Amino acid sequence: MKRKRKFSVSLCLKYASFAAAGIAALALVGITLYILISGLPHVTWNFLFGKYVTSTTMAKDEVSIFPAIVSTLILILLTLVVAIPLGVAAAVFLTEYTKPGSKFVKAIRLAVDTLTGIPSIVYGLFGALFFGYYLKLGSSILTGTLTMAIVVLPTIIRATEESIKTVPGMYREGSFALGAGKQKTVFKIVLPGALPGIITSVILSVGRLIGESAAILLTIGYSAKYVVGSLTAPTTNLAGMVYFLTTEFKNEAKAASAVLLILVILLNIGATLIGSRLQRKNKA
Amino acid sequence: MTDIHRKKLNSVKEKTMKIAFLCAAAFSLLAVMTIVVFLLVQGVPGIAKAGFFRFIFGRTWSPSAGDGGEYGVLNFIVGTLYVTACGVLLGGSLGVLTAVFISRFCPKFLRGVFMQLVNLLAAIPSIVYGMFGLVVIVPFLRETFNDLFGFGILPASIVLGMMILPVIVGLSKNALDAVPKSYYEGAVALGASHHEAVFKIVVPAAKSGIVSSIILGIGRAMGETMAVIMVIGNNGANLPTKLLQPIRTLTTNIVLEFGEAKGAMHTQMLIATGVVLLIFVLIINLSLTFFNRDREKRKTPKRRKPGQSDGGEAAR
Repeated sequence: MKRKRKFSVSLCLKYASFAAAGIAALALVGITLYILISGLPHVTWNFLFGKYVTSTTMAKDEVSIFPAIVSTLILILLTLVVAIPLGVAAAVFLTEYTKPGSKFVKAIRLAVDTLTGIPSIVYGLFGALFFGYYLKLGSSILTGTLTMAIVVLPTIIRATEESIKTVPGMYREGSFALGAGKQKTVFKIVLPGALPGIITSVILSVGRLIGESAAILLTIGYSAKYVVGSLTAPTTNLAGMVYFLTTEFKNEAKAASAVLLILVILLNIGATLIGSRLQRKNKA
Repeated sequence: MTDIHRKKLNSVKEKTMKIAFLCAAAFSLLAVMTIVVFLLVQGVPGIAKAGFFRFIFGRTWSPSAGDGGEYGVLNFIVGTLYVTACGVLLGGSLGVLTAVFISRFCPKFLRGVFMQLVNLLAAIPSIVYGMFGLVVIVPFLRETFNDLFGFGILPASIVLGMMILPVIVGLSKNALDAVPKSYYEGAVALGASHHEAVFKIVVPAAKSGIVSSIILGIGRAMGETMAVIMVIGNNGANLPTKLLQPIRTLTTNIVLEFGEAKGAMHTQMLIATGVVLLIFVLIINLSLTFFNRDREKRKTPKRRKPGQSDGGEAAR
C-alpha cells in the first residue's frame, strides 16, 4: 500500500537542512579562500620580518608586521607563564581535592562559566582601568598580559580538568599504596597523565592571544610601528595590527589577516591531532 | 625522631599544596567578583550623575555638548538588541539545520570532515570576520541594494550569524546525538519515513539542548565587538530603523571612544556603557545556567513511572 504523497513540512525541512549545511560549508571555505587568495600575494619577506618605514613623503608606508609579531610572542610567553600554573592548579583542586557536590565547587564552576561568557570588550575595559589606570601600568604588554591571563584562564581550567578526569583512578590508588602522599601523586601521576589536555589548552590559549582584538586594543593599544623596547610601552598583537591597517592599508590588512588565519588553522589542526591521540589512548 | 619529623614536614607540605591549589581555584571566583564590582563601582556614579532615565532612554550621545556632555545610550541598546536578534535568527536557524544534517542526514565519512570545518569556523579570529565583512559583504550589499554605504545591521548580522554558527552547531549536534535510539526506531516502526522521524520525534526530543545552544549564541553575539565595528557604520546619532543604515552598538561605542575620551566624565560614561552590556550578558549567562540545571533535573529518572522503558512514550 502506497501512502498518498502530499506536501510535507518535514520533507521541506530535510532539504532546508541540506541547504543550511551547504551554506555553512560554503561560508567557511569562502572566507578562508578569499582571505588567503587576496592576502597571500601581499605577504613578502619584508612584510613579515622587515622594518616598518613611515613614509615622509606622500608615498605609502612600507608596512611590516614584524613589531607586532615580536609583541605577540612576548605577550604569549608572559601570559602563559601567569595563566598556566594558575589554571592547572585550579583544575587539580577541582578534580582531586573536592567532592563533586560541594557548594564551594559549584560556586567556582559558576564563576568559570561566567568568565567564559564575559565579552572580551568588558575584559578590555576592566584591564585598562584596573591594571592600566589604578595600578599605573598604562597601555602596555604588562596590562595586556594580566588581562589576557584572566581571559584564557577558563579555557585552561576546562581542558586540564577534562584531561585529568581521563587519568584512571587505579593509577592514583597504586601511587597511594606505594606510600606516596597526595601531593606526590598529583605531581608524579596525575599531571603527567593530564599533559595532553594541558598542551591542548596551551594551543587554544595561543590562538586566542594571537587573534584577540577588542581586549588588546584597550589594554595594549594599536601602535605597531616599532619593535617594543620595554614591557610598559604600548604596542599591539597580530589581530590589533590588522585593525590598525584596515583604515589606510587594505592590501596589507588582508595580508596580515592571511598570516593570522594560517597560524590559527595550524594551531587548530595541532589541537585536533592531540585531541584524537588522547581519545585513542583512552580507548586503548 | 627523624621519622616523626619527616611525617610532620610531609603533612605541612601537603597542607601548603592544598591551600595553594585552593587559592588558584578561588582566583576565578575572585576575578569574576572583582570585575563585576569594580565596573559597577566605576560606572554607577556616572549613571547617577547623568540621571538614570536620561542615560537609559536618552537618544543623544554627545560628550562635547554643553557642560560635561550629554550621554544617552538608547540608540546603542536598541542597536545591540537589533543586531543580536537578526544575527541569532540567521545563525540559529542555519546552525540548527546544519546540526540536524550532520547528526542525521550526513553520510558517515563526511561527518568528521563537517565537524572539522565547523570547528575551524570557531577558531577564526573576529577581526578576520570583520575584515571579510568589510571587503566582501559590505560592497556586495552596497551594489545589490544600491545603498550609499552598505553598512548597518544587515552585514553585521550576516557576520555574527557566521560567527555563532559553530557554537550552535556543536551543542545542537550533541543534543541530537544524545536522543535515545529507541525514539527514532519507534517512529520508523510506526511507519514514519526517515525525515518525518527526524523532524517530528528526534528534533523535539533534543529541544532543550538546542535552546541552550541558542542562548549561548545570543550571549556571544551580544558581546562581539571587532567584527561588528568594521561593518556597522558607527554612527551613534541614528535610532536603528532600517537594515542598512550606519548605527552603533554598546560594544562598538566603547572601543570607538575609549582611546580619545575627553575627561573623567566621558570615561565614566563609557564604563557605564560597559556596565549596561555586562548586565545584559550576565542575565543571559545566568539564565543559561539555570536552564541547564533544570535540564539536568529533568534528565534524572525520578519522574518516570514504573515499567516505562526509555522512549516507550514516543513509540507508543
